[in-house]
Amino acid sequence: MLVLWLLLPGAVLLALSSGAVRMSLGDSVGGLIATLRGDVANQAAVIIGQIRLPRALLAGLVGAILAMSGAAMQGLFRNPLADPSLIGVTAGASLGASIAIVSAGGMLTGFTGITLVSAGAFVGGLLAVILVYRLATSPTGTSVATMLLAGIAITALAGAIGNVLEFHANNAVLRRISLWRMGGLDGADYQRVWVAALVGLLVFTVLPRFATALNALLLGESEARYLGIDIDRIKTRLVVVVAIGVGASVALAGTIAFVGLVIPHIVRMLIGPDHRQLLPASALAGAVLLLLADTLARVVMAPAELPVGIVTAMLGVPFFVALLRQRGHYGMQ
Amino acid sequence: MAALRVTSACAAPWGEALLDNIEFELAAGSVLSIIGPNGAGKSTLLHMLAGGIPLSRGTVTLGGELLPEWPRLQKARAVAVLPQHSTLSFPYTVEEVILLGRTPHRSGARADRQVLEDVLRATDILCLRNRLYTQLSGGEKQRVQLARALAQVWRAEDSPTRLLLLDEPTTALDLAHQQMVLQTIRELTDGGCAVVLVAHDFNLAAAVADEIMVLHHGRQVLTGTPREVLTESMFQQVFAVGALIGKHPSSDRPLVIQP
Repeated sequence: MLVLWLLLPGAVLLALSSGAVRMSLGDSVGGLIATLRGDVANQAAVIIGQIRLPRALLAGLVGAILAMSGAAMQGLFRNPLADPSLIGVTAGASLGASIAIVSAGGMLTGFTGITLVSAGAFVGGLLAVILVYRLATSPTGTSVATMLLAGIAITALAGAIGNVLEFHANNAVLRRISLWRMGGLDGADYQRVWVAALVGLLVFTVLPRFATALNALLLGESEARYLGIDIDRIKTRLVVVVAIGVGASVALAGTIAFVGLVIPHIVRMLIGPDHRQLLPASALAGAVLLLLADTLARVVMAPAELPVGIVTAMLGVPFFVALLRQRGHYGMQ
Repeated sequence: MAALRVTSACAAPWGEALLDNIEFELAAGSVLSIIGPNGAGKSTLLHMLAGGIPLSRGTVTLGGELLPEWPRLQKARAVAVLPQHSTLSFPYTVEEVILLGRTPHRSGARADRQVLEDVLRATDILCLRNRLYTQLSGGEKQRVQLARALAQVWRAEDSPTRLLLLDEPTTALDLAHQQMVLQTIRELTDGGCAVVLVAHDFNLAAAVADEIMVLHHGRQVLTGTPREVLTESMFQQVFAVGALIGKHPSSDRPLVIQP
């Protein structure tokens, strides 16, 4: 945990100093200080303050939200292979964004266009989760198993509708949709940072309050109930908070693969499954991973950029596979 | 005063009656054992007593108060359940699993550690304390789950009424550890905890129970002392097998010999 706290500022500094204009770590710190002072004449301050800082902040926040949401979902579904997208939020958000892109047609430039797509994604994600949740709820309560299956069904349905849209779209729109899907932080500005910070505040304060309940829940639903946990209330709140968190993340940065699945898993292998440590540690590790991934995405093909979702997968998967091989059956049976 | 009182209780969680007109009383510090063929409703009865399955008719009172009216946390401090099967696929250590039994309590870390030490000793898993639960054998897992349930109701000062519900706690255990479970149940009842025990092993039931209830098709066929209940005619009628009933040479309790 302490290591993660130390890694975070390192990753931020690395993100600030990398990019098309090369800067030493010292220059970056200087630029950061100048930015904080409001010194706009300083060239480093402009690059840092206007371009790299909001992007780094957004990357850290989105990574932390996705990873902590993933850890909570794995606990709720009692399955270390669960992922926040399981409840349909990612697919719903993708479809919402696609609809926004297609219906907006040519006017998709500038601020309104981006906001429209983000809003479409957020609303789409929330609608999908509400649908999944209602499908899984009967008079006797909400079944987590049914929620999982309903999530798969809604994900497939949203994917199919999305494919219909893409099938009829022209090449320009098609490219936009597919680029958006790969995920990217290139639209970062302070407005997005504020939205991410607000959503992050919700996620980081609410989810850790369920740490003990999630621990008990791993024993089984009725066992957790016999331990005095109000399962139904917690299920609803968890799903709502995760839906808002992941929906906002997808809206701000597109679909970013593997952070929500792999980070909690890696952290669990390193520090154990106790959610009181797992949730905050996952958030920190998620922030670090996405910062590093985004830095790489900006420099490997500079001045062009890779979509960050590609980099998270390419960074995360080998690391994950190496851990799996090394630890053998640890973590799963 | 009776710790647990059940009057004309019926349960039909999926429409069909699984339990019909169950009626009994259990004093603090005594043991009721439930026996019956597969599918008789034994586990259902246990979950009903824990409040996990709602009553369609009748009442369950715990410590003089209706079970559904107990506040959630207070009930969790009073009633612990050892289910027949436990699934836990995350790599908790044995200590972490057992401490989950202290979840409803606000007794402080020191008291919780003391309970942990006590139940580790009572279930003979001191040497497993830092092992991963997922890497244990079936019998070891069963002892860890038992220790977790014990930790929930171990201390008399945590709740004025205590009830431990055990669903076949000895199925995966070797002989020595079966004896150890009996010993632990006696220790708990000496401290005033009431125990309901679902058992497939009639001699285990005979050895530890003050009363035995026979369930068949969700109905309470017979309830009484081991000597009253464990008879050759009962085995013929309910289990459709012939059994010889002897007498335990040292405890004088009935001894069931299956042919």
